[in-house]
Amino acid sequence: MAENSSIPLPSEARYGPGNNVLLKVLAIVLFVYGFILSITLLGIGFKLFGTGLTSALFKATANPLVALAIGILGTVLVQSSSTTTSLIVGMVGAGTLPFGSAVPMVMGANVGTSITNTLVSLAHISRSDEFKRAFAGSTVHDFFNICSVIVLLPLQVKFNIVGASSHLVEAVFEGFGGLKFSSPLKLITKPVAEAIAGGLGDNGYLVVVAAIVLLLLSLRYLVKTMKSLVLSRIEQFFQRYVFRTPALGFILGIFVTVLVQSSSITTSVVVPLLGAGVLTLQQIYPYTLGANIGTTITAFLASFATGSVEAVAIAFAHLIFNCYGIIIFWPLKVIPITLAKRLSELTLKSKLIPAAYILVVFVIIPGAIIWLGT
Amino acid sequence: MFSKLKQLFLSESLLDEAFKTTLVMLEFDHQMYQASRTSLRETDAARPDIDVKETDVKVNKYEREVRRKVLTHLSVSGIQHLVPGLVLVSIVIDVERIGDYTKNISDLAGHHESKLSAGDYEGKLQEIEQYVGTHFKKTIAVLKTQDKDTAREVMSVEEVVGKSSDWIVNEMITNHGSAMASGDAVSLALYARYLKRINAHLTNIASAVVNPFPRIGFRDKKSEDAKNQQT
Repeated sequence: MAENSSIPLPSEARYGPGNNVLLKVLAIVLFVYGFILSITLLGIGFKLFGTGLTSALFKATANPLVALAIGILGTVLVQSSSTTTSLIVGMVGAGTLPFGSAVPMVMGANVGTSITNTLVSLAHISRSDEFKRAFAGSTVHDFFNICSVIVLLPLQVKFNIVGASSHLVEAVFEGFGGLKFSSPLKLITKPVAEAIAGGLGDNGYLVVVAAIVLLLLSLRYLVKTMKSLVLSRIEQFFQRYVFRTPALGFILGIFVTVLVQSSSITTSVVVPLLGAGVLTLQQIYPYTLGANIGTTITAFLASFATGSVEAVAIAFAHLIFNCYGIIIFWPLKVIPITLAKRLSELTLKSKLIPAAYILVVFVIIPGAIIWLGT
Repeated sequence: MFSKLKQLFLSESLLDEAFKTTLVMLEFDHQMYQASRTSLRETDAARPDIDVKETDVKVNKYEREVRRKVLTHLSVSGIQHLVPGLVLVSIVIDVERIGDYTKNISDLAGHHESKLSAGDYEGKLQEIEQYVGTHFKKTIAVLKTQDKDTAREVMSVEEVVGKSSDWIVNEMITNHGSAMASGDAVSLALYARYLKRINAHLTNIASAVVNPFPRIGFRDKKSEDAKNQQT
């Protein structure tokens, strides 16, 4: 903390020292390149494994519940649905992961990412009323995702509702020449990826590990840089638009998430405002749904890097799953909102309940499913 | 629509806006003070030139706005501006309290039938009024320019104003003001008290420019150390 207090002079608050916009834009370009490169490298790495890995993954993820649980647990561990869905897209693009198994995994990634804002709400735990509001606001995201999975996963397993829709949309997209610009992407990444793979002795394990590390780092710093560049400039949108109409809140959720490339950040920034009573659950609900849509853009970026039709289809599956969820649970918002409120009321009885909820829903249940299923 | 979005994107931060709103509040306080003081001390008119109650409602509304904007800024943009945010939230309370005291002066003018004359205490009272009037202008300037020397000037006189006000009040209590009508004596005591409180809050605001956050509202550390050495 600064030794001397200072009230900010106009524009000093934003344009303080070290706020070099050009440098940050260049950094973003670099990190995006790193991200696309990592997907290309991932594809090469998985292909080096041959068919052995493919059949192993096929067996492991044939059970849709296991695939769902892997999506949840994987996302909880890396704290980023963008990372998990990018990995899934890369694996589908490389032909290592079947499309049918990837759909429940992507659903699981959606559920897993909602842990982050729930963890953020725990900062308010020492003040009961504040925590009740913050916890309800963060878990409404969890309940939307969970409710969507409860409805859509059986429909997907029985009727391939998400899979079929995404292939249909992908075909239309391809028809409009949507995949055309994956070629220039490959042009700038494939030679470098092949050089890295060659440098690692074309060892599948090393190449995949290198790709995952590169993916994690480039996404992490991409999000960090975008956040520092964008968030302070869009706070006016929060002041003026989130509080107005549900439609504006929804659009803002999409807009902010696309810009910062992270639904975790988008949904976490409103938690203190919820806790303070500045925002209500009804106000942030459409905003949260918008964040779910906005975050699907990363999977699309990854899919264009692969140039694979199936990879693009799985990216569409991520988007379509969220769209279907919104079609059902925007009119029926009373369900996730009521569930979130009931759970938050329980927290007044015991502060252990939030911790138990997080452990059970995000770790124990998925872990048990994976263990029992495999 | 796009131009609106562009405007929003390029607009100043919420913290900047909160700071400007605080300045506007202080300007309103000054206007209220001048109008209430004139009504009480210079005219027989019960009502000041401006609607003090209405202006005070605006000041209270702006206080809530400042708090909301600071909270939103810190939530969205991160805690890099935590200290300025906390400072603003702290001093806006002082600004709002000044508004309340000027409203009290306006109410006093409404109840006191004619202009208030301080009799034997007129000189002392005018001295206090002089300080308060000057400190309003200085405090607004200090907030705009972060001028620490001017801020210290405001802070250095707080004790003098406080003691003068207390002296007037004590004189009224101990009946040394018995030459005055009871209504005038009560009004004078209340008025002196309100002036003391207004000056104290102006000093708190000025101290925010000089002192680190934990010491807002307290003496400048240099003056404190110098005083301790004297004792």
